[in-house]
Amino acid sequence: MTLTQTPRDARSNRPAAFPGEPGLWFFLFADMTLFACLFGVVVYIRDDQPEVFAPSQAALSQTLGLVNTLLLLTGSLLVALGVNALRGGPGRVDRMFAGGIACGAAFLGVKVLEWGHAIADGHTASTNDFFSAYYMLTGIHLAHVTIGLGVLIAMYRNVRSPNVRRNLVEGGACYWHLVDLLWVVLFPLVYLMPAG
Amino acid sequence: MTTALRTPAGISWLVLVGLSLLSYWVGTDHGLDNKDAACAALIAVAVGKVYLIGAEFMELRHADVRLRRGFQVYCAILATGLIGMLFVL
Amino acid sequence: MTAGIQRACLWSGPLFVAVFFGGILAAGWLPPPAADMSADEIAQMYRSHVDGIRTGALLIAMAGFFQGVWAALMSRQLKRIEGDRPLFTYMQLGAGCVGILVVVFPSFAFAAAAYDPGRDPEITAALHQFGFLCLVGMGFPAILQCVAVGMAVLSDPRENKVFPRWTGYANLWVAFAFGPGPFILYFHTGAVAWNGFATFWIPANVFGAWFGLWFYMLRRAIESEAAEDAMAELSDVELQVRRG
Repeated sequence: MTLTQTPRDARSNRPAAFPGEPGLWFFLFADMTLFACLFGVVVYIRDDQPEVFAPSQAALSQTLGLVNTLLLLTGSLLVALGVNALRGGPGRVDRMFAGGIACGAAFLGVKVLEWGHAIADGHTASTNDFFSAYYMLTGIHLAHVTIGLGVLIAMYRNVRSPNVRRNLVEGGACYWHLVDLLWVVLFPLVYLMPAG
Repeated sequence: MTTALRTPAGISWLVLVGLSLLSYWVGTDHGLDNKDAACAALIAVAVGKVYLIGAEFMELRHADVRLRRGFQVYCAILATGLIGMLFVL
Repeated sequence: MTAGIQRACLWSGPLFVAVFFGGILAAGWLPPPAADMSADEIAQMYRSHVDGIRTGALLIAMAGFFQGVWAALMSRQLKRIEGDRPLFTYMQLGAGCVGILVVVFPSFAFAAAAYDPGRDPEITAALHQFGFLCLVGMGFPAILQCVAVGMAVLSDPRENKVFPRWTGYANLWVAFAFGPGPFILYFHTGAVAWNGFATFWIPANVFGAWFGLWFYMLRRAIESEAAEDAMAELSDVELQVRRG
C-alpha cells in the first residue's frame, strides 16, 4: 500500500469520492439512461394513444403502486442508515440491511399480487400498447429488484463477517438506491399521469 | 427511531414520502385541471425526488464533483426530455 | 500465440459488424419490416426483393465466420485472468460459438423463403417470422457472453488487470440492455415488437456499442500481453547473461 493510496478503513467517517468504485458508476448511469429511454416510450404512448392509456391505467391499482413506492423509499432509508452506522452512526448495520431486505421482499410480493390481479382481469402483455409497456417496464424493474435483493444479502453477510468490504457495502447500497430511484419515476408515469 | 429521522437520510425520507403522497393525490383526484400541466408537475416532482435520492442516499453531495455534475445533467435531461415530449407531441 | 496473430484476429469484430449490416442493408431491412405484416405482404416483399434478400441472407451467414474468431480471441484473454482454472473462459467461448447459430439459422430461413418466392404465402411468412424472431429475439447467447466477461473482469485478482474494472460493469449492463429482446414473441406491434423501440432499436444500438467496447478491451489486453511477454523475455535474457 503506497503513501498515495487512502487506506481502506471500513470505519472511516467520510463518504467516498466514488461510492463503491468508479466503474460501478458507468453501470448506474447506463442503467439510468436505459430506463430514461423506456420512460420516454411511456410518455409517447400516452400522447399517441390517450384513449387506450387512460382506461388501461385506471385498471391498475394506484394504491398498491403507492405502497410499493413507500416500501422502496423505506428500504433505501434503512440501507442508508446502515451505511451510516458502519461509519460510527447509531443503530446496528446488519439489522438495517435486514430491514432493507424485508422491504424489497415485500415489494416483490406486492408486485406479484398486482400482476396476478391484472392477469385475472384479462389484462395481459398483449392486450394493448399500454399493458405491453407496463409489463415490460415493471418486469425489467423487478429483475433489478431481485438482483438487488441478492446484493443486499451479500452486504448483510459481509458486515457480519470480520472482513468488512467497504466497496461492496457502499457500492451495493448505491445499486439499491438506483432501484428505488427508477421506481420513483416509473410510479407517477405509469400509475398517476392523467391522459386526456 | 426519532434519532434516525433526524439524520440527513431521515429528513430526506420524510420529504420523499411527503412528495409521494402529494403526487398520489394529484394523480388520483386530478388536483389540476389542465392534464398536461398535471403531468408536467408529476414529472418535475419525480425528478426532484430522484435528485434527492442521489444527493442524500447515494451521498453524491459528498462525492467527486464530476459524479455530482453527471447526475445533475442526467436529472436536467430527464426532466426536460419527458416534459418536452408532453408538450411537443 | 504472438501478438501479431491476435492483432489480426481483432479485426474480426469490425468485419462482423460490416458484413452483418451489409447483409441487412442488402435485404432492405433497416428499419426492419413490421412485425404485423400479413402473409401476402410478406410474400410480396420476398417477390419484389428476391435477389437483395438472397444476398442479404448470404452475407448475414458469412458474418458468422467472424463471430467464431471474435469469441475465441476474448476467451484467449479471459484465460489470462483465470489461468489454469478457467470457468468464465469456457462460458464465454461456448456462448459465443452458439451465437453463430443465432445468425446462421435465420439467414437460412430467409434463404429458404427467398428460394421459391412463388410458393404459398403462408409458408413464406412462417419462414420469415422464424428468421426474424430468432435473429432479434434469441439474445441468450449474447447475454451469457456478457455476463461471463463481466464476472471474469470483476474477479480479476491480478495487480495489473487484464481489463479495466469499468468494462466489467459495462458488460453486465449490456446484458441488461439485451434483456427485453426475447419478449418480442408476445407482440406484433408497439415498443416491444421485433421492430419496436425497446426490443430492436435500443438493443441494436447497444449491440454496435458492445462491439466497440470489446474492440477497445481486446486491443488494450493484446498490447499489455505483448508488453508482459517482452518483459519476461528480457528478464530471461538477463538471467542467462548473469549465468555466463
